[in-house]
Amino acid sequence: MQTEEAALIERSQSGDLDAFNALVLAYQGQVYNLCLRMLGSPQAAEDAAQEAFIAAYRAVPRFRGGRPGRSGFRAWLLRIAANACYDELRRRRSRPQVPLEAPADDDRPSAELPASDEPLEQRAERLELARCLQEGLASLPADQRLAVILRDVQGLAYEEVAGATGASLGTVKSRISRGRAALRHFLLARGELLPSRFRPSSESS
Amino acid sequence: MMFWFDRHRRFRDQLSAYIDGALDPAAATRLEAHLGECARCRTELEQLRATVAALRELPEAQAPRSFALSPERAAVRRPAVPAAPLAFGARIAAAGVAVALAAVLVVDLGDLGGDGATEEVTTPQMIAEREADESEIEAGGAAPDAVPEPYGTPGAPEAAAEDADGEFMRDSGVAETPAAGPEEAEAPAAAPSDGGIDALTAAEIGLAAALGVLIVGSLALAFAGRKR
Repeated sequence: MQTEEAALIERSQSGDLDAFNALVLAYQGQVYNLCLRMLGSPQAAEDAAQEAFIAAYRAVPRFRGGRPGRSGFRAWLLRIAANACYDELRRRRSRPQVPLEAPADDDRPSAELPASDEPLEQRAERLELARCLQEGLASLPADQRLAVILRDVQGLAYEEVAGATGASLGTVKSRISRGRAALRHFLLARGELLPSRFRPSSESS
Repeated sequence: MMFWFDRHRRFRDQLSAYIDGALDPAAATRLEAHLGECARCRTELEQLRATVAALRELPEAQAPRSFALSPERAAVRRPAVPAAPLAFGARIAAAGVAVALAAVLVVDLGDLGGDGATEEVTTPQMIAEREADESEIEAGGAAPDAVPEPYGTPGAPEAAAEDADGEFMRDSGVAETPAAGPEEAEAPAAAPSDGGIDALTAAEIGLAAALGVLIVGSLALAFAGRKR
């Protein structure tokens, strides 16, 4: 797996589009989800993800993976995606008529839950929690949001988050800590962290 | 009281790392002791854990389509790829030329007795070397930042090339003035000592001025290459 990826990267670096597209297919889920959580809008996420892969294709000849002190391909790619998201956020700031949390996207299929055998009520609760969390994420400063998404939603280790954000390990830890604390407050204020509400659905079932 | 508050706050700041098992063992032991006697921190830890668990359970969205690049999309890159190594090579070459010319000029002006010139020459030379180094670092590190609009990119490299040419012309044009400076400055100094401008000295001064122009031109090229 690791060596197969290394071979694909090497071929991509010499301009092999098929090899690069194999990497795209392997990582597009993570890239798209990162963009979706960062931007909160499927359309913006789609654009940012596409932009990220184009940028990655152009930059891949300069990717130096596997060197000591360098992060891996996934972190490198996610960093490009994060930059595409920052570009979009900057664009929004300069064009304030675009709403920061696109409300029109509420009934989108982003909350595709795999469980169809889940009781309806429980499913509704999880959907509500997911919606609330996305709102909470949108309320965070972009750096904290990025760190929390990479660590908790995407499950990256601290070191990899550091590689994907270009920040030091200490900065990453602190961003994650502050982001989580702010999210805790956000959920608490909306009654989403009541023990009765949360524990049964996540632990007893 | 203040002391307790600070300690308490420090423990609260450690909760996040503690959840991830990223606290060193000694700190974790101290935190656990505190948790044993502080109900507020226990509650907060539980709520943080619930927050993290909720984040982990966020549904993963399907990519709405394949993001694989079509050959047409990928072809946008074509002009950029040969341009990048070329520009880099040109930068290195330009820097090399600048250094070589600077060395010649130092020797040349040294012959004329212009001691002050040595300093003025080594500085741009060092800048050229530093620029070359930096651009190498940037090529790797800032690659993610180099995300130009995907649209209109085909025209961009040409525009950049024009821009670079323009800059080169502009810079070398401007350079003519300071490069002519030493000639005027040196001439009176050289003239009295030899009792007249003999043909050799005039040729040397001309050569020095020409080299000065070339150095500044090379530096301009190096800068232009850096901008791509």
